[in-house]
Amino acid sequence: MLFNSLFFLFVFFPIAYFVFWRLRNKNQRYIWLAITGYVFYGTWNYKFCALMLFSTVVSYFSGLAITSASDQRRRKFFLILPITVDLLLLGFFKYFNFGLRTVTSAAEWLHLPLHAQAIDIVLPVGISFYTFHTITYIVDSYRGVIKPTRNFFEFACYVSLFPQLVAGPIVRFRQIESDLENLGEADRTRNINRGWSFFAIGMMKKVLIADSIAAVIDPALANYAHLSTLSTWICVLGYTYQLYFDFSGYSDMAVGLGYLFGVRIPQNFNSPYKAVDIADFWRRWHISLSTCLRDYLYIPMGGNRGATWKTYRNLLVTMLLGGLWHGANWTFVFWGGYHGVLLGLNRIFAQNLEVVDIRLRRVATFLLVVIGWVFFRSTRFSMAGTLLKHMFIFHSGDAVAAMPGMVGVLVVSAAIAHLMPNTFELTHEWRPVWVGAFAVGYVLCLIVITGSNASPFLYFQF
Amino acid sequence: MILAFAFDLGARLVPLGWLSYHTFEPALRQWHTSIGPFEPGRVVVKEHAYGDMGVLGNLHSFREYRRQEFRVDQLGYRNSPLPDGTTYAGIVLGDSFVIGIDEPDEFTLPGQLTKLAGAHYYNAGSGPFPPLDTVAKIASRLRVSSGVVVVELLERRTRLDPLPLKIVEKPAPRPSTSVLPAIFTPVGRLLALKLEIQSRFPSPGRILCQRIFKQVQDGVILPNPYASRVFREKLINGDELLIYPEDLDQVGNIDALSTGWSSLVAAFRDRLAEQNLKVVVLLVPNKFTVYAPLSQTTLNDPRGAQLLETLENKLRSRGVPVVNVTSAFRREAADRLPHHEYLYWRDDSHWNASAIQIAADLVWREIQKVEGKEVTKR
Repeated sequence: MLFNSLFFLFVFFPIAYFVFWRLRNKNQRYIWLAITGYVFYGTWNYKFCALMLFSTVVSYFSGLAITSASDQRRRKFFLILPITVDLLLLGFFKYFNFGLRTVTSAAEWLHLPLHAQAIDIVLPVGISFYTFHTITYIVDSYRGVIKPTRNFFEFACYVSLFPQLVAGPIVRFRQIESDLENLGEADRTRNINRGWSFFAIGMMKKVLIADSIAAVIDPALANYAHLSTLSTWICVLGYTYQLYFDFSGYSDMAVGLGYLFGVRIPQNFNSPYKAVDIADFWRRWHISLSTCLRDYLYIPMGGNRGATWKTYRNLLVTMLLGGLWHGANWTFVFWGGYHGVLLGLNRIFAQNLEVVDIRLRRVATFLLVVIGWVFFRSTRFSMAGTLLKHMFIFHSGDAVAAMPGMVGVLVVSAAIAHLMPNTFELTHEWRPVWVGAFAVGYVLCLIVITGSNASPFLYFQF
Repeated sequence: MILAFAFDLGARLVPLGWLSYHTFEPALRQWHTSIGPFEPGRVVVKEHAYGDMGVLGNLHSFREYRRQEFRVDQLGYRNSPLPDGTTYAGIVLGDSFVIGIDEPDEFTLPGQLTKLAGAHYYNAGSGPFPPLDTVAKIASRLRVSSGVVVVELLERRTRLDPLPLKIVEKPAPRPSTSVLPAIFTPVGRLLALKLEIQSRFPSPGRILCQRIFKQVQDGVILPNPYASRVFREKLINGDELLIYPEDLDQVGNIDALSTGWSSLVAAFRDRLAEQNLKVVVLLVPNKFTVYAPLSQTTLNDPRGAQLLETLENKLRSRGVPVVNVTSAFRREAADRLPHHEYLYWRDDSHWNASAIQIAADLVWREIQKVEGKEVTKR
């Protein structure tokens, strides 16, 4: 079930919403939200609900055990146990076949007689997200940042909260703890306008912009070797904006849904394509992930507190693992490493860069990010190599279909991404003419959703 | 969203004729009120109907707009109302080619046979092998005794394995709950009814949205993902025809297919003979089979003509009167090509009045032979 599907809009959401606000106390609301979360998740594959439940139960009891443990050894044990369980689950479902392929390729290269058969593993939707939710909960419990909840339903509600379940943002327990605690007294009307505004904006970003771009570039990139230089640039720029509007659109919808249920989900994108350097980009792009990587990987590794070479090592390792988190493919790892190198270079030359005109810095940062997306989008290095070659060495070839429309969408996308305020910067208090415009936009979204096949969000398989 | 929901519900009251591109879909019966496939008494008129291939491929530039008028009689078949007591010389069975999707009543195959014969031929188009009980009912209501039943068989159908098909005595009962255990029968009946309603009452809201969205999927604003659903055959005169891609596929085992179909037709002939009805079979080629020799692109011959010829021979060997219009169509198609005139609609899979006229002439001659009359030409 997708947010931009008719079943969600006309069946699931109305039922979830109306029943939620008929319930009177927070426990009932926890249970209802947990149920809706499992139903939402179950529409992808009901069998994997058991997996999520297992991860939830292990983390819940580990959290309590950490609090009640008398000595540091026991506390550490209950820290390591759920993290190990979660990482094993994630590792198996997401990376087992990847590891097997890598080992097999290496063995072939070394002429070793090793043949390993990949097994048919279905990747549970959203596993990368909900395992991060439980891991951050456990680590924060261990660090004393939060007090683990004794209410199982509250915790289950947190893990399975459907707005952020399958594609984020990665919400830490402490970020919504107070909202959950006060869920029984939440006022339905307090953030209703804000919620709908976020949801509508997110829907329009996803359906009208991201999906329109996808309709053009997906078939073109399936035939990437034959694209001309101009078409390659159009496809790569298209993907740059598609990824942003798809993911930030989803995040906006998640935030909007959170508001509608009395939960304030934090910002995940802060106009990343306005970044002045790579470090700034990572403060603006997928904020929930980058802060998790910082707090739970980079800083525990030592951050920038050790020797200089260790800082760069920590940066690189963090970004490599961040890349791997996105997908079981070496191109993702390379993309992560690419950004790790850029972050390192940024640290070295930060002071020199400050004298450069800010507009030039924005353009340069954007270009570097676009190049990185080439690897992110490519299924193999040869594809990335061909795309980069066509981008920077003139190549005559096929044009993308619907070029006029695509150029128009790119211009609009660029204007919104580079010049306009992002969703969190808006006041969400709209004059009637804007409400009318939203209504028209929403109707257009419904027309597109109804009139075409629904496309999944790009990030939900992570 | 509430408004959208209300709009969808309210729009279900809109006549389907407002939304369809053809006239026959709105005329299809919703409930089992007749023996034919259409709603008795229904009249559907569309001033700007267009063809199925243009819709399939979302190719607006190919549309050939035409007026369509579709009248359904009390038996549920497409026939103009005639006075009670009208006598009929025969019945024509077949698919949409007999129904005459794109033609007025008088230019359909039964209409043209009526003109040639000076006696009425009944349009019972709904499928070439309806239940025998249905044929008997039609014959009885129309008082057709010792008449002719023309069975139209399209090449596209003969490419399919006929083995799963059987001569059926009676129509299947509906709604069907036979797949559900008896214990669930009350619920099963409700579910089956719900599914049947859903399939018979498409959401006009969804249809409208799809049509609006398809307007921008024109290859200029957004790519047209439907374009690959049709094949654009370029002819030697520069014109293009839209073809089903499946029609370009090679025919399977011609011997097995023709044997299977000739057995089925012969069995049908034998059963109708029990009702004192004589059968004449009409074999109609696909558009691509007719126009392949006139195509600019060199494509492998899918052997459709060979299939029909083999089937024709096998039917004759079983004593079934048969007309295969492939050669006649190919000759006419070549003659008309310099004038940019065609035997099939360019934007549709169906034949037009010109082709029907040729087929009707040939069928009428065969009917005259079958009835032992002197063969007269038009």
